[in-house]
Amino acid sequence: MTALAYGAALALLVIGLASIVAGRNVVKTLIGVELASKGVLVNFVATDPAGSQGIVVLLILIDAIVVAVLLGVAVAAYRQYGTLDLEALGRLTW
Amino acid sequence: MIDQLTTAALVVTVLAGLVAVAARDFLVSILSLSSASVALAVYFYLAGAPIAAVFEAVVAAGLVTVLFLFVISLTETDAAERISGAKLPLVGLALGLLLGVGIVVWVLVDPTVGGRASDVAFAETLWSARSIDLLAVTVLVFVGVLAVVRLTAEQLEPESDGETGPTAGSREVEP
Repeated sequence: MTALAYGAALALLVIGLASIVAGRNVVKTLIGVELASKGVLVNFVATDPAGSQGIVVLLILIDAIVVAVLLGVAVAAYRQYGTLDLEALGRLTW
Repeated sequence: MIDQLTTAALVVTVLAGLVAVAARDFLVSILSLSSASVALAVYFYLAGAPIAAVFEAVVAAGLVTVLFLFVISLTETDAAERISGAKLPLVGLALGLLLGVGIVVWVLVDPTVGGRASDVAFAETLWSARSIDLLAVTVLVFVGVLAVVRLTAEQLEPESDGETGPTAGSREVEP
């Protein structure tokens, strides 16, 4: 059962990283960030369910704050440039 | 029984994550991300971390979903086609069904699985030994809220002309 949880954690991390790297939209990139952090949480809980609860709670809250601030930045960028397409927004994509 | 439920929760989490990445419609992406959070909360509860499950269900499945919906309604994104109005009751029904299944599983599962004996010790640890961390997280929450309010303010600085909206300040970036 723990091996399956580790596999799910790795799958969530890979899916999130793929969405971050290949996504063309800011919202899709932030969904990738969320999925990658979920993979990290699955890893924590699969390793030590009762002992890692405090860390998991703090990570969930910090992740919510990070996503909130990044969504605020996305709205600000949309107000500034009129698009959420990463190809049009900047040069940090490939 | 518990092993099968755990396996099902993990598989649903990964599949919903795949759908969230692959879907073209932003509404489908966000709702399947919320479904992944609910399934992950069920897994946390079954694995013996009930408080983490509650936080995952409340914060990740509730607050973050509302934030994403808020952003796509604010930005009126046209990169992916929005879902049509006729499909909205179907989406709501699916989400309600998922939540109902989660609640039924929550009730049916033996309450001794969740490790209730360690709840008091965990609460003591959280509120006494981790009080500085809690204070730091509270400060971070307020900073985040202030940053969001500041960044999404309608008029960051008083403009000379009365134009508002996304097309007012839009300009092309050099490719």
